[in-house]
Amino acid sequence: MAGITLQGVTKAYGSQSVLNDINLDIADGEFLTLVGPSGCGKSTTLRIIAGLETQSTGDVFIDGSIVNETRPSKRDLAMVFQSYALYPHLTVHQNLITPLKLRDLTALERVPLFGHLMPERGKKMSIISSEVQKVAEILKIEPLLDRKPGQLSGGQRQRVALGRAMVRNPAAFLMDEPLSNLDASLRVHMRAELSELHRELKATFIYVTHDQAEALTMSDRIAVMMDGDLLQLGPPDEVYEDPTDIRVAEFIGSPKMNILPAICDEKGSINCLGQKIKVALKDKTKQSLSIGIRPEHLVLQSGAKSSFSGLLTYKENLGSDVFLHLDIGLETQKVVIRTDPQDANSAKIGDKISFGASPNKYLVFDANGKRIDARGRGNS
Amino acid sequence: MELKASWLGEFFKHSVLIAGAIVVLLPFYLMLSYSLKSPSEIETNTGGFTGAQQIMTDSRCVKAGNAEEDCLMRPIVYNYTAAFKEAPLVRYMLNGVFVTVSIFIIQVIVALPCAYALSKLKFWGRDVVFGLVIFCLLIPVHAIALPLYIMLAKVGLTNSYAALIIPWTISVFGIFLMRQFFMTVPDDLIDAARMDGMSEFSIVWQVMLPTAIPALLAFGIFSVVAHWNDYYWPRVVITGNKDLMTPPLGLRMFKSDMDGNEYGPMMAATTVIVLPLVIIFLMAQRRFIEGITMTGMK
Repeated sequence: MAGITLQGVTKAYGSQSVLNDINLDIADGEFLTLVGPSGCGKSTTLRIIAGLETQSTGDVFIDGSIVNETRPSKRDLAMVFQSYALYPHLTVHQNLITPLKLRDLTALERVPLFGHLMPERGKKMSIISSEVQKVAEILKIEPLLDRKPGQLSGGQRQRVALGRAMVRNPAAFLMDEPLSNLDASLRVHMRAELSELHRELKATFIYVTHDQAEALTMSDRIAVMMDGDLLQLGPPDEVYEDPTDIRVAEFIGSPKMNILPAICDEKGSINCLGQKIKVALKDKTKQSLSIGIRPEHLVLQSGAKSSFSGLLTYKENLGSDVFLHLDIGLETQKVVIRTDPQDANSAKIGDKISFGASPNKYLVFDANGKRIDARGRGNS
Repeated sequence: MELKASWLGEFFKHSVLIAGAIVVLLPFYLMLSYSLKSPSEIETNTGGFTGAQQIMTDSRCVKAGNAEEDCLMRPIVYNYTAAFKEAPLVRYMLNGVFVTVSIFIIQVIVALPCAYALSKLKFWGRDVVFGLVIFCLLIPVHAIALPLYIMLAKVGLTNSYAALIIPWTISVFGIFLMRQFFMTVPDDLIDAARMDGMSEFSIVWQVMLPTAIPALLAFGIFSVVAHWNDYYWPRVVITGNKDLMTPPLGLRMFKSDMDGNEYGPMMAATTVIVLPLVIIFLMAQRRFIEGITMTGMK
């Protein structure tokens, strides 16, 4: 068990920079998720922590001590790979004991045949076997121990890969998109199991995913990465409610946050799609802005003033909710509203729909996509 | 109409393939047939495939002073006993086994780490080294035979097993084949082994080797067939010592030992030499073809 710290870590391949100044403090026993679109540098970050890749500058600390020069196997970390990476020629049991044999037996004791003559080997092997047995029980993979990975289903391989990480009882678990090769229902099920496992083991988990839903459901904290930058770090609620960057706002949440273009004049009044918005800015300069509103914060309004309107182009019925897709006259941006099925009943494709939101739900971003502190005035 | 066209197409395909098969198989058919027949049947081209197997007299046995009744035998028995009696065929075959197996083992010991480095490790100049490997594939053995021979002669290694083995220990074809196979092994597997604490050396032998068995088998057959059948190189380096001869070379000595028209025993010896390869190939056939198709070489 240990905390992990990254200080000013950068990574560049030649002139191409993949990671820019990553600072991250992961507490002991925390479940931290690195989330971002593919190519954002999250896997590289994980591999740098694992020692499979070396950072160009910066330091990695595990449990307070610097490990920049330490080999992957000496960092006391275990990794679960997206492809599971089980040894295809070994049985499940052999797959599970391999990391322990490599760690606990001396080179002499590992020599085939001759190693069996070493006095300590038997005792060590029985300890290893009981460890493996314990993990197999927790993961319920005992009936599979004699099979080879090729004879297992995706979910079973996933468990074995987890088991191979668990037997070592490592300081931290590193997981590189471990659920993305599973089918949808199994993935949802494994999310719950992983969270439970994390609670049981009380170990540090660092989890990489491109799926914002996984990040939101499982983590203690989320680190949102994009283009090699760590954009925001915080608990799931905070990242969802209070994104500091327009890229974070758009990435987290499904369906995506609605982003509307707006203009602020010298007096600080904001005009969005021809409507005045009752939001006050501290900095009253003329600038172009983006307004972000979550689909669930938009409400249908029957022709009241100061509300937006658009043509209904598509109704997405999920049973519990209905997503209304509206054409608001912008080429690049459609608006999505989440409503109850009853409210959406009357709406027909092609209808003109009026909608609005409470001003305190508006998130205002400047031209560079940074969040601006803004206060909504009253309800509309 | 369409049915007729496809029938014609099938007929054409099959006749071409059958013709090809006949061309390939005919020499083997003759070899086997001659090894069964008596000399007179071979000369007159009678007796079908197996010959009549009538009792014949061994003329040498008679010349050696034995009574004619003691020298009567069936042609098949005569041919095969003569093959083993007239030349140390067993010795030649043991030489062949020793040389081919040694070559293959050393080739694997060299090729696996090379292929691993060329496919999975990042180092400066890797592409240049791989380019050199490809380039070496283009050099025919015969072009470097003379310098090789001179080098071996200078260190006094001609007429030795070493001379038969050493020039073949580094197989660029093996390196190339294994490198192509290793490219398909996921990097995650190697990273997982590193996390587990394996050294690069153990990764090669404990992770890469077991996953590469089909490819190794394919390479093994290429290598063993090539060196078992090789006539050229043993002919160059084995000049005096008959004890070191490999089967093809032995066969040649065999021929000059015999009278010109003793085709029967000679074909019997050839059959015995070819047989191990045919058996190995048939046993490994399925995995062999797996191995070649998997590495994308046909």
